[in-house]
Amino acid sequence: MTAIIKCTNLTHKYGKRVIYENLSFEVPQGRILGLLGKNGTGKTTTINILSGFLKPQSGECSIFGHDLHSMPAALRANIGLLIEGHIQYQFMTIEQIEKFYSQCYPNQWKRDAYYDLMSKLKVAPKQRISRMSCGQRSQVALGLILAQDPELLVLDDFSLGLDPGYRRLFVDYLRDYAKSENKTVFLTSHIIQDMERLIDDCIIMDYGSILLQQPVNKLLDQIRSYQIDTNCSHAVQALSLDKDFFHPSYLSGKIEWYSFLSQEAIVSRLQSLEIPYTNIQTTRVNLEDAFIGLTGKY
Amino acid sequence: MLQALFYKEWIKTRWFLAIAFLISIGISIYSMMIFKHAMDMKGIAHIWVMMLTRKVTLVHLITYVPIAIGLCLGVVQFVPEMYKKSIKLSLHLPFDINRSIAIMLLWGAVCLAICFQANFLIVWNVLHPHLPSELLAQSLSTIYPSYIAGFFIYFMTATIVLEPTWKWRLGYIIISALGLHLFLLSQTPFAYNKFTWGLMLITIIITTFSWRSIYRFKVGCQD
Amino acid sequence: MKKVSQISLIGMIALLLIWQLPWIYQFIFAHPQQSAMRFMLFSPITYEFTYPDRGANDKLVGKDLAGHIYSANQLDSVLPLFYNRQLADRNAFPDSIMGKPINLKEIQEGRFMFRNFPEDTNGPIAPLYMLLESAPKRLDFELPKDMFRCTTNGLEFITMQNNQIDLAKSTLFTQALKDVGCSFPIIHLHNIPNLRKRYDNGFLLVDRQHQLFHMQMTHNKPVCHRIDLPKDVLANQVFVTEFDSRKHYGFFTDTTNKMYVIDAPSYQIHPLDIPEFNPSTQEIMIIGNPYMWTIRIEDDRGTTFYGLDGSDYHQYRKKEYIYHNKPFMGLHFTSSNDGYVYPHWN
Repeated sequence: MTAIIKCTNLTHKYGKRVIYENLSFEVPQGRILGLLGKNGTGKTTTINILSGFLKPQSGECSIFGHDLHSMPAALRANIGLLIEGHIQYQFMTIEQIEKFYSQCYPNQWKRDAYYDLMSKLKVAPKQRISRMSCGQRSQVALGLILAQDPELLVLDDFSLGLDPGYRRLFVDYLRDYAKSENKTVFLTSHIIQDMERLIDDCIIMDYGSILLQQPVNKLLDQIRSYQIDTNCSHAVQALSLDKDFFHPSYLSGKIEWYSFLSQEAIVSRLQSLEIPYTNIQTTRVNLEDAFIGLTGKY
Repeated sequence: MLQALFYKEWIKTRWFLAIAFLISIGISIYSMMIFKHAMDMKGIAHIWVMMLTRKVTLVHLITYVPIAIGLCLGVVQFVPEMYKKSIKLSLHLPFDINRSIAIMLLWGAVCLAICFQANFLIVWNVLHPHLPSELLAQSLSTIYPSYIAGFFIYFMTATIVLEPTWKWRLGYIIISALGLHLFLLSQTPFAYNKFTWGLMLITIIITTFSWRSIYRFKVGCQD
Repeated sequence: MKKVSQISLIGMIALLLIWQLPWIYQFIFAHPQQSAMRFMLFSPITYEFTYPDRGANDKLVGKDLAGHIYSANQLDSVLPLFYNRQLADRNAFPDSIMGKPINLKEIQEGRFMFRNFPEDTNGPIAPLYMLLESAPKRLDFELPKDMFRCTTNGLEFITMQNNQIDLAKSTLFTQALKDVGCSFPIIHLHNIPNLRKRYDNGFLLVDRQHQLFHMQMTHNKPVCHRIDLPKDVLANQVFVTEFDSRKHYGFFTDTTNKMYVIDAPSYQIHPLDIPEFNPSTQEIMIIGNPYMWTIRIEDDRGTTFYGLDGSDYHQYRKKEYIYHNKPFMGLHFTSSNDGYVYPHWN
């Protein structure tokens, strides 16, 4: 599968604060990839680099095989961009913005896709975007992207400010569109439940690096939440030193952690660490729990 | 491409342009009404003598209008682009960024030219039957620098608004203030006859500053 | 475009710094010219430059360059022509000055002040001129019906009422000047376009061959004279005067910056005994009376005072003040020498 997005050894700092060093990842064609990470791990930085609004201090990034900063302008017609907050031209109405963009993408514009979605909005065609709610603006932004029909969609925090209804609508429309048209999507969001419904692959970022990149179903197949009953509170320190035990924590006679290891392997490790316990529990987790488990609670 | 970009600029600025055009012709009509009134009351000979001996120009009311229009157009045209960094939308369009910026600035410049030309034509049409070429030139020589200053302040306002960091915005504001001061050093008729070329050259040079602001935005400069 | 914008920005900043930094420095650190003397008069009594000053208790005293200090009353006597009213009030006006008997009326009519700044010579003007009727019927000057411009071929009168060229009058005056030997175009001319003056001396004109002419309009007819110049004297700048004494038509400078006065009505010209006066770069003030002229010439270098005889204009004394504080080097856009805005290096 060809990589639509390819980033190699990206390094960026804000002043002396290192965001990440030598970050490398690829986004294959036809996949929906979600970038997950806590605040400050570099999600928006990555999106800005990919959209061409930030120059990394070192490293290379290419889309469709072209370096970002020397990409022919016409190629940008194949990239649909959603800016954080569903920002669109505030001074335009629904009609005006469609008319404007249709002139920008004359060869590929799908007017019906846009107005199909607009018909679901309870707004007049001449209503200015500045007077719309966040959810309505998100629909306008989505409609414009669907009408543009790009090969690659880059969506920065697509769920920001949306209520559950609009978020569900957005996710369902987007997945349906991306899968039916074999589009590549690269997105970020803080609402991980939405990501779970939408994305095929995920990149989980931790401070300074990528924690993992893999398909979501594979991640959820492998990762488990473990809990043991024990009075040995110092066991947490011993478990913390083992890289296969993610963020062990002790509370009220129980130690909880996340791990990719099987239960048998866990039991073997506990024995080798000579940690006394009773009653080991294993639970399958959803993406949000997996994320928290891997990155830790604040 | 041109059509789309001009359409966007038109949507942004149409109401302001209508107001600016009305103000532009309004102030020149008002100035000429004052001239006509003086002519009726005191006679045209009196006006000739006043112009010759006291260097009256008849158009002093117009002096700051082009500057105000240029400044306001820069704000009206570019602040919406920078609202929540909407300029990203414009920079993401499948058009060469240099040309996109050039078209945005060209739009503003053409609109200013139309406003100023209307203003100038009213003054010229009213005055030229009554004044010899020397006195007509005396009047018009005081508003040419104002027109050029209007373009100057428009381009500088665009630069300031498009600049992503406040540090450089402040720098550009200082440059604007000093540059504008250059255009207003003297209200004496014919004072700028030897330096009109210089004012135009400076204005052309500072048009390039907007590109610098955009480049800095593109590479992610921030406060 | 990125490089172009960077270079443009650097250029603009450099220009503004070269302009503003010297100005800021001078604004903060400049102090007044210590050697500047603004006002002195040459005394026809002591033959010294004398000036009023403030003495002890802030009282008015007089001082001269020989070191004498005069009381206020003594100062009046040392400069009798300047303080003639104060002397007349105390009945202390002398009977004679410089061996010549005094006529108070003649004194009062004979006093004058003439000033010219470089900006008056170099400054931007609309090249349109007003020729008044020199002999108005009711003595008061009336607003003329036209103004004229100088063209390459002559004078062109434009009627103010309808902004049309008065061909007849244009031809009449152009021919009148040609008849006295004028070669157009006129390169310099001067008059005093003031309706409230006591009389009118018309225009002094310099043609393209640097010959000097006088033009008036009397009963709507041109009255033109060619003023004979000494050999090798080429007129350059002219200045009409209309002093109460009516003894002069005006001054002119030649191409070597020598200054002359033109007597009225004889058109005799007399050189002033001063080395040079360049009206483009120097400011001049002449305070004169029938006995003594004090001339002050000022430029960037300093101020020079001359005391000249009021009859034959020979020089008695001169006093020079050189400025020690040089003007700060830098880029300027305005100049006190003209009213134009343009870049020049000071």
